[in-house]
Amino acid sequence: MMYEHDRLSRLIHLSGRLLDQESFEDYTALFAEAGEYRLVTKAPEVAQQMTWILLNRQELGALLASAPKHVWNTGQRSHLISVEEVAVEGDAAYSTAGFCVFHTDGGGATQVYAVGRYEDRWRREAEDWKLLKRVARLQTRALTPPSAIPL
Amino acid sequence: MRPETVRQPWDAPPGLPPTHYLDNRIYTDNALFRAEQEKIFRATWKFACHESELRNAGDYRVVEIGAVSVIVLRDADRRIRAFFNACPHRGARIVRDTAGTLVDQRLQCFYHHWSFSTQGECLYIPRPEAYAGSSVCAERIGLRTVRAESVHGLVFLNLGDQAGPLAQFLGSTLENLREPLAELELLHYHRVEIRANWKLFVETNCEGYHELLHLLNRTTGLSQPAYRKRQWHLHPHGHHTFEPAQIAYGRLALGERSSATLPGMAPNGHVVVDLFPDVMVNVRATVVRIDSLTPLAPGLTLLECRGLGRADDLAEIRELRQRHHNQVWGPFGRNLPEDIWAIETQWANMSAGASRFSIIAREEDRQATDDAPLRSFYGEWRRLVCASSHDIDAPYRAADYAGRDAQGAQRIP
Repeated sequence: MMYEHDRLSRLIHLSGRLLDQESFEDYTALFAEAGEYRLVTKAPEVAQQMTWILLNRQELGALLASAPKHVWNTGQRSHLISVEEVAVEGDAAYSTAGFCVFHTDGGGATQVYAVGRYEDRWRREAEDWKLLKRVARLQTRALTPPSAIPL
Repeated sequence: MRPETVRQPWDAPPGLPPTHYLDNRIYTDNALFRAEQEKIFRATWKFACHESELRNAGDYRVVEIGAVSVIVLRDADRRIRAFFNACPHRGARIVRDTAGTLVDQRLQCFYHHWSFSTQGECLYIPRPEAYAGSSVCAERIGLRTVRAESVHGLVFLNLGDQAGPLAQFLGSTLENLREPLAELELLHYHRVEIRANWKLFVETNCEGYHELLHLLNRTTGLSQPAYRKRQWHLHPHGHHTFEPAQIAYGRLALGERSSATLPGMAPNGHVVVDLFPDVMVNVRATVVRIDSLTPLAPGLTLLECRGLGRADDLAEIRELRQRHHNQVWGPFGRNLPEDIWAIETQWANMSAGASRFSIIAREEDRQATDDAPLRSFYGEWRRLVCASSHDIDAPYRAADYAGRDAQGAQRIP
């Protein structure tokens, strides 16, 4: 069981590292075929929960594959992830983690870009654990500069 | 070898009619910024919010217009009203958050507890006996009213007392959107501060030439010969409409928008309406986007983006609309980050004095990449601000621009 916890913790950390390295194919491969990425936040201005990203694995892969053709000021991002909880039940698992993303611009200045939590549902498949659903729950709402790359 | 030509000095006016280029100091000049606040934002109709944000009596939103904080609310009789967010007693803000629902249908100033009805009448002054013999009494005091009107669910405010009614200001501009805008509610909201002048963002919404910037637009729109023939229509008061077109979402593996289309919209259909000074209503078959701007400083602008779907949506359809919305729009959409980066680089150069003029000289019979909407916008801007757009040091004379505002385009009467 301890092995499974370690493995899942490593995968959660890896997810951030792959985004930072722009290894988008490998990032997408962390998701199951039926996997989904969702980014949500609260908008107090309208007293509602907002869904700012809603992508299945295929859409996520297509978006990330097209990234080099876009003109997004993503800069250099660095995820700092702290795994909080991993619960394994047979071939299913649930995990939560806090994350902070730093943004470094072309001039070398670094600022905190976004803070939030991952709530992940996993499924064990033949080769490894795969993400069935990642919900990135953002605390930060003012994203400067915005970019279409998920967090 | 290229034939020898004499290159004009980089900082010289570009040798075009004055309607066809801009002095970039219109974006950076502090005095002009103050004039815009006074003569545009405090004088014309300004979009505030969507009616669905004020669903119930007592629901309120706080918006800023020309640096004035305004409460817009649905009163006890379900009518939409607006007031300065300032207590007539000593000027404190009455509402200090951005949205909510009033307790007991009353506004209470936190400073000295004066309270007001949703119609703006003063209901209660604590310990009023100290005002005995003076003109200060609840019956004679009220909140400063702001004119509020709505059309197709869009709520507009006007701080001035001189402007005509909203219907006169809008004319027929929103006619194409009567059906798609019916029975909507908010499904998306976000706000972002942009380090650029507000007009630079407006320009991204009313010129099609910059669609080359966006992978999405050049792949699913401009790549179609029929799309390039799509026409802009110019309306009085600086409003524009971009006539309906079909978007080829499939070319970017974004699926089709053939189900859950909004009333009046064709599958994959696209319509854009720009309302002077700062609003864009953009409908992409299944979902509506409304942008509005609050200029905070010459180089700082608050952009608010709303997405809307049908109020009677089932959960599955609502999710489809969110998915469609987020493909293009929102802080993680494909396009907004590109627009923001583009105009922030413009602003950086203009404020550093590294870019003196902007060219808005494309004439293509009002087709998609014609600059006619920009020229129309600046025609209205000049009329209201009474400043020259091609040289801010030149005295404004309407005759200098006469007959040229609509050059290359036909105005709708």
